[in-house]
Amino acid sequence: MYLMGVVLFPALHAENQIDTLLTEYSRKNDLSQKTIDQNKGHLVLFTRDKLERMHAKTLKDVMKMAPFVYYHENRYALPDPLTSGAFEPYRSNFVRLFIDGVEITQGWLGSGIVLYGDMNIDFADHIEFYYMAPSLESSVEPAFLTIFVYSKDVERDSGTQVDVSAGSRGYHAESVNHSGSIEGVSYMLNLSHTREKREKIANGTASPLCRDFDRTQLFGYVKNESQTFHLQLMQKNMDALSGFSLDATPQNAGVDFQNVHMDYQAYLTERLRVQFAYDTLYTDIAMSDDKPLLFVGPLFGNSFYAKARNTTYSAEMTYRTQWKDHRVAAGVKARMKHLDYLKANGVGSIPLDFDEENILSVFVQDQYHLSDHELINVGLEYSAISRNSDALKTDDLFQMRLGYLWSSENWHYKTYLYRAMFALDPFSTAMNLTSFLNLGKGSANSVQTTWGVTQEVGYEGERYRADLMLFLLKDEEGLLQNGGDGNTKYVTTVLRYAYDFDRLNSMDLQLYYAHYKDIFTLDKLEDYSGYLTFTNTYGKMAFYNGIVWHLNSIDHKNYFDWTSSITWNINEDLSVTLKGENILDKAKKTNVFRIDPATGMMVAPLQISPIDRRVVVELEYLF
Amino acid sequence: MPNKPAYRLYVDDPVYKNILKKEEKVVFVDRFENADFILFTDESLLERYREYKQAHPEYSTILFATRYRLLKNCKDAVGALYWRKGRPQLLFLKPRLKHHNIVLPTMFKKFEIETL
Repeated sequence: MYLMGVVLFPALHAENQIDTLLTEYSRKNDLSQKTIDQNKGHLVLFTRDKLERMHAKTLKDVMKMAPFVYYHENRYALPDPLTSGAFEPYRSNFVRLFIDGVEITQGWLGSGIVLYGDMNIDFADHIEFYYMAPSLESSVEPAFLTIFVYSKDVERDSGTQVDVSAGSRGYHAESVNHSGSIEGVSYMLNLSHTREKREKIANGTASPLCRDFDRTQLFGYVKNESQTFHLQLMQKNMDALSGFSLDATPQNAGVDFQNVHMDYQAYLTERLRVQFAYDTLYTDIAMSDDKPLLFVGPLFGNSFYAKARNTTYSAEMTYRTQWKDHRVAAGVKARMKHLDYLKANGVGSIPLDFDEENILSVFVQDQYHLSDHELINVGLEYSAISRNSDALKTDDLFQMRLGYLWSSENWHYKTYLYRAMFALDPFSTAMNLTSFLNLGKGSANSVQTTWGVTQEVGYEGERYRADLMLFLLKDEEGLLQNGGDGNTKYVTTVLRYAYDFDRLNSMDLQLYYAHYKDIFTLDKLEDYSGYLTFTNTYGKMAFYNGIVWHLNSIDHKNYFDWTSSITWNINEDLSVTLKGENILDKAKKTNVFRIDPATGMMVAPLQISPIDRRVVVELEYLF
Repeated sequence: MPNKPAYRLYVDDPVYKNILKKEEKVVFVDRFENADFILFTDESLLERYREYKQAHPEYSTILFATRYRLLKNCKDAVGALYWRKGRPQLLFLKPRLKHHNIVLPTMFKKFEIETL
């Protein structure tokens, strides 16, 4: 808002060019969002401006550009960035999702990514990706990557926005967003519906694999200066690709989800904050094949029709204070995940070894300002995970982070030493005990330890920004081994460069390289990727072009995902966009492994891209 | 020379007031009727302005808005600085500037438009 002075009283600032000022103002505003905390760790930020120019409609559109994990789907067509394509239930428990600072969890299934990884983001203002353990203030459970989605601010987005789009194969989506404020109370309501008609996958039979879904999603909040209440509802009915079919030839594969999330946050005093969250997930599973199914064993024959519900209660209390040059935060967090029921048609309740998992965490951290330009960050967290099972002992997780940050007007440098520990999601843990399937090392109490030394250096000029991240990491007793011993060492680097030609024209470049030693059954794995994007505006026309590139040392095959859009801003209220996704039909593919149940032999895996080739026309109206 | 303030500004939003108080050539007035400039930040001020204008048709001052909707709904506002899809936007309406005999410096010319 300081720009208001410049605009109203230009004589005082005659030496400045307004265009440059607007650009600078926009960028500084993006980076000064109170949610963004460079002290949290290594940040990859998608600003509102960037999301708008990309025409990102779902979290999937953003995740596919996020280094390290990118976006992948598993054999059930669920968002699962770390999937191996093998027969595990879910792998991305270490990727955690927060909306407005509160974690969205699916409790028994672990990370909220499983359902919200491709959610509609029309309600979102900006998205932050933090690698390794970010500030311990936010996470109840440890994570390798935390994704923070923040909703639009009423100050900048009051009013109503209607968005309708239609595309290839009968795809269509509708979204309404309304926000405003009344006497110091801000509110927002976003309702969206998506009918996702996706490419079918040939599997060698007359019935190709399907992954269509129909999703209705509601997001809302009410808040004032000290209190916030969020409500989220989602219903998603989906085709589950290969489902529980071992050879990916299901007769039926579908899952319906209904999810409710509510949370309440309040500042009891300036220093003391409390937060409560409730998540519940109803799951309706329909799987059948003409051969035995994955997971469920011979008891159920060749079909598995079941209903399940799990509920998660989370509570936390955080105390922050400033003492001399120390900013100290401490808190306690608790979470209870309860499997309310799991019932199969014709069988009734399916007994599992345990149906409740409790997590209790305590943390303390100190940010100490050595000088105006230097900061030391120390954080410790202890978590205890217990289950109502005689076969399982309590898992003790101990996390530590030590960081040093230095910044000047143009340069910044940060380095961290991490020790993080992770556990499997309760569903996978229960499967280890109660099913023939044996995940991890065969012990349900497996806990992974990851050590990391990370560095980042960056420079910011008038028109450009560049930074380089370098991570050295080591997994001990890795939980996601797929045939290896779980002791993987890896080096990852990310180089980013952004250049603003002027206020409306810019380019972004990202290059990523990772070198893994002893991963799965491989001695060495190298992974290369990157993206290059251009945004341009000519009068009322806006253009976006972006290419995401992938290559790895397994097949040395280059994958290119080219997205292009043209927007006609008819006036301030109305715009029309034509967008092409995966235009070259060469986006990165994920293996879905297959086993012939008759012989027990591996069959050639299917290679499936989670990014559909599609053309979409979108109409957006603001009022 | 007397130290006469150059601009008398009315703004009722405390956040904007806090920002603009750093400008030395600005004095804030308590009633918009006494202002050289009015900064519109919400609908309630617009309503009050309309009521006053209806009762005093001869009243004239320079209005500037912080939302596009306010610029569109108030025919007297000369321009606006507002957010649209995450980007700051600056607009001045030529006919309204002309009505007030305002000639903007060259650096603002590219932000002048004829109609909304």
